[in-house]
Amino acid sequence: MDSNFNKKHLFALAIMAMVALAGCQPDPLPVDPIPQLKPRIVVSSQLVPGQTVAILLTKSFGALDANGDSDPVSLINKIAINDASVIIENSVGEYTLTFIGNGVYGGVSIPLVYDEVYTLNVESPTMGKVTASTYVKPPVQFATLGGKFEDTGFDSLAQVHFSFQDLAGKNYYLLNAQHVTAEEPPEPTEFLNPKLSIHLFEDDPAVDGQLVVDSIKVIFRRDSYPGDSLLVQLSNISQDYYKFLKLRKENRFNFSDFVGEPINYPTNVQGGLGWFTLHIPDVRVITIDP
Amino acid sequence: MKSVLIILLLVPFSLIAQTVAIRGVVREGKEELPMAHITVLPDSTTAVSDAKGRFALSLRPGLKQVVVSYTGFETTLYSFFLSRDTTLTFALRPRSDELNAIVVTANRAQTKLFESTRSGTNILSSEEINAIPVLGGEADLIKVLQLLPGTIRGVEGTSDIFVRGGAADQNLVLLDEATVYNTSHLFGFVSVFNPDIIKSVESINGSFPATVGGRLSSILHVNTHSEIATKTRVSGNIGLIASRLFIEQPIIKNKVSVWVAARRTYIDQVVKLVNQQLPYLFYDINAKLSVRPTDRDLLSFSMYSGDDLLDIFRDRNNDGIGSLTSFQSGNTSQTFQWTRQLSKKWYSTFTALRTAYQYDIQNAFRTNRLKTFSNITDVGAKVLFGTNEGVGKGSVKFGLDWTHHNVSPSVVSTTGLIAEFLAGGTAPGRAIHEMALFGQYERSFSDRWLLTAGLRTSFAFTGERNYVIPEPRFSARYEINPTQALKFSYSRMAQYLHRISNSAVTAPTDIWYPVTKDIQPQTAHQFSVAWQKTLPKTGVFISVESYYKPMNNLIGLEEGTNLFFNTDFEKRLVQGKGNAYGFEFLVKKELGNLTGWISYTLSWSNRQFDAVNQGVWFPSRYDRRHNGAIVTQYALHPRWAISAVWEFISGSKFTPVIGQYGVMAPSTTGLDLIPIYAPINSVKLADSHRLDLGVKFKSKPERKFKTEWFAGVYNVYNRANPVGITVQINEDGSMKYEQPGLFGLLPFISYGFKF
Repeated sequence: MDSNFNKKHLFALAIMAMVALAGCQPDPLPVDPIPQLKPRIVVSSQLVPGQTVAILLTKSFGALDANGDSDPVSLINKIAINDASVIIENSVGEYTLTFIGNGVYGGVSIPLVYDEVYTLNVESPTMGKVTASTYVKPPVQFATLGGKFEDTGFDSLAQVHFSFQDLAGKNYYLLNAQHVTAEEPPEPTEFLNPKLSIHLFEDDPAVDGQLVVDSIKVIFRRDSYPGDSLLVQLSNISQDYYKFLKLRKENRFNFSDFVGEPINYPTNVQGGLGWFTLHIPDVRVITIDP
Repeated sequence: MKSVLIILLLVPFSLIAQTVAIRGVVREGKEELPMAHITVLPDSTTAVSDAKGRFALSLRPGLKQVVVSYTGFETTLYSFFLSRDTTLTFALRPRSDELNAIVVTANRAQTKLFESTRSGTNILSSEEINAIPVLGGEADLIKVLQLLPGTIRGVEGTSDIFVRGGAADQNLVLLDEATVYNTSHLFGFVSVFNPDIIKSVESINGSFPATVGGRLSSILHVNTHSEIATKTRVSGNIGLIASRLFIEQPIIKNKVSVWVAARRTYIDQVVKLVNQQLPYLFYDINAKLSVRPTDRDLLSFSMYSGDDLLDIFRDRNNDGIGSLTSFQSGNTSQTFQWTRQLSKKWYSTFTALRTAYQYDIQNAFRTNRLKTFSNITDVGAKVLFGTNEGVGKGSVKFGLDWTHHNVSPSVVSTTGLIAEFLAGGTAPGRAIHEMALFGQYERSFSDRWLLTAGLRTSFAFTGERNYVIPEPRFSARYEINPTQALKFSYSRMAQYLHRISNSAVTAPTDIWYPVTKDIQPQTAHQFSVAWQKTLPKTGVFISVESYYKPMNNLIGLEEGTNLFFNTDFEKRLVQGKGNAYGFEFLVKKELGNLTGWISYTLSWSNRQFDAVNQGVWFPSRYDRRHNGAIVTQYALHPRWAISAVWEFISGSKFTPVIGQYGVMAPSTTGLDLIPIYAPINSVKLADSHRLDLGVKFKSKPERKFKTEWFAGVYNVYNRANPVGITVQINEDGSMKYEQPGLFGLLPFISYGFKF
């Protein structure tokens, strides 16, 4: 026996071995059938620059059908609803959206009147009908916007400073920033659960209607390339949508399904899931040089 | 058989009858002994003493031998010539054997419980606690309680208990009258109670006397040794998880003594020997000074301190610069108690106490630092006056409890760049005074009926709003015959301190929070009916009991509330209702070579919150329908014993993710996947069952240095006891649900000594 390997070590190893060898991890148990999910229509929407309305219609799917690492193209193909009739109406008229592909329906030249209620009607022969209503909030725009790279020594951040004119009354704002690389298009995996920096805030009654000046910090990886940019958007959103996004943000990184609280996410889609919103973003691109 | 001290009273009664009467009473000191056996030879006539220790026999005159026996006591033999009616009083002495003394204590306590109006109460001896094989071989009071009826465990291996459908925070755990807010070490796998210090454990799950309150579901009294030691005593134990040492020393003969006990993990030191690092440890220190200045007074001062400490340093690049994560969680308590025999009839107990619990989590990397901290500190006093009347003679108890709770529920502090992403904050500290005035009267109103009626009125003063809640307590016993009884009880309970935790699991980082002007006290009513029977010759006790418990103002959280680093949680608290009902069955044997118990509970537990699950009633997380255990110890030989525990429990309820949906991310590209949950607690996990075996070997009893080896296996057939449902990805990319367990087959071994 090695002279360095004395009785003390032997005793310790015996204890360790007894615990380690015999601490067999039992095989997990199979799960008895749990409630099956009936697919439902999911609505989400965006206003792209030029005030084109894009509605994405998909269907909900089972927990065993896909996850964040799945191929996004396959997933979209699987869940997109491509046979629906999509109409947006307001007090003035009805606007039928055109099917573009992969569950996306677009509408150009839909007049957006602030504080007017717009109702979405979706009818699919395979999935049924849903409706949702929202109103267009007056937009806000950046007065100033700029960014600066900041190396912390172990990681890097982009400091984004901005200002905008707060609107009168009670308002809720969404500011988000997304890193856009100049080197190559985003990896497909970035499409599902993309890494966004999302900031939600209510306006301060003490400075109602005044210029808001603030800054945020966004993770901006050390291995960024020259020409990398930040896509920054500022929107004035409804209170209900604000609450939905806040709930989503608070639980975005629940580290374990069986430790986190179960949540019934709110929806304004009657008969379905998701959210129909018509907030008008101010979209800017700022370059951050490392 | 030895003859011991006998007091003989000869009373002149009539001498004319052909038979004469022997009447008498059997006592130990001033305390009557019910169910003692009195045999008169050569007549072979036997009597059993009643609840008041009395017996009566009619016999022919002549030379008689009276044999009096009582479990755990030295048998008495008295010879005399019976010529006339005679009254005898027998004063017995306990047997000198320590093991039997412990069993006797439990047996007598069990007998006292049977004779009282109380039901829904369990008493454990330290011998029972040490005999049962548990996780890692570390004797554990909480793990043993989880094997008794009415008490359900949470996640496997943890120290949470759920009593009669209540939540984990509805159990008041007292160590020498001081509240223990966190009962676990090692993230729940070991309790904070060093088994060497325990004198008695009483778990009250129903039929609450007016002297106790503060929680809805149970009161757990853990009392440590307080007798004046007559000699130095040292004992210790070396196990796989921890080692412990106990030293007791007289200071002034029959007047003052002290004991100290300590326990620590040492596995971190063991792995250092093989150049590995395990940056975790826990320790306990308990101590007690007992003083008996006069025959009427007993004073004691006890203290407890225990911590869990974790320090992890990670240096990914091996450049000496890394992140340090530290976790500290611990309780401290100090209790002063003065018990005085005021007169032959009256006694008093005065208690002053202080207890504190805190946790502290820190993470530091270069200039960045995250710290979260929570603390609760109580100071309080209790005064109790009572009478020493025997059962049914009209005993009284009354008194006052007062506690000042000072809570700093959650402090989050961030510095450096991390502060940009996680703002610090402080949840407002809270302080309340909690008080109770109580009175209770017990008396028998016929040969068969014994009634106990009491009122406890509790108060909470928050500074913004005050609460007053009357808590009537009533229990009754109907004697069918000397070995069978029916019991009925009603209790109202109020609770002014709540533990805020994630509904899925409880953790040392949960937050204790008092009532406020908006958060109201939790309340419950409990009704119970029980049938009990004893078989004195075999030391068997049987109990069948049912209960119903509606609850109000239970604490919950709005959906989606994340407690981690959340200082604004009060706005997310919601209150709702609950109900629980069920049946409990227990057969317990405490005498003979084979001892142990069989327990079974059939129970339901439901909740309703307007803000959760769309206001629809749902099962509570630990609504576990069937819960049973077979616990046995068999003494093969005075030095060898084997023990076995088989436990079965229905799966707990769970809320898995059953689907997902995608919405456009709030950016111009990307799809966010959002989970869809099943209805709350609508899915039952697989049932859990487990077999643990142990064997104990003791050294020869005549040796001064006594040793004991205890070895065994936890989870002999290596079955997973599920903690939840996860989605796993197969090698081919497909996915499946599965239920993982925490522990498989785990052997254990420990070495104990005493001298």
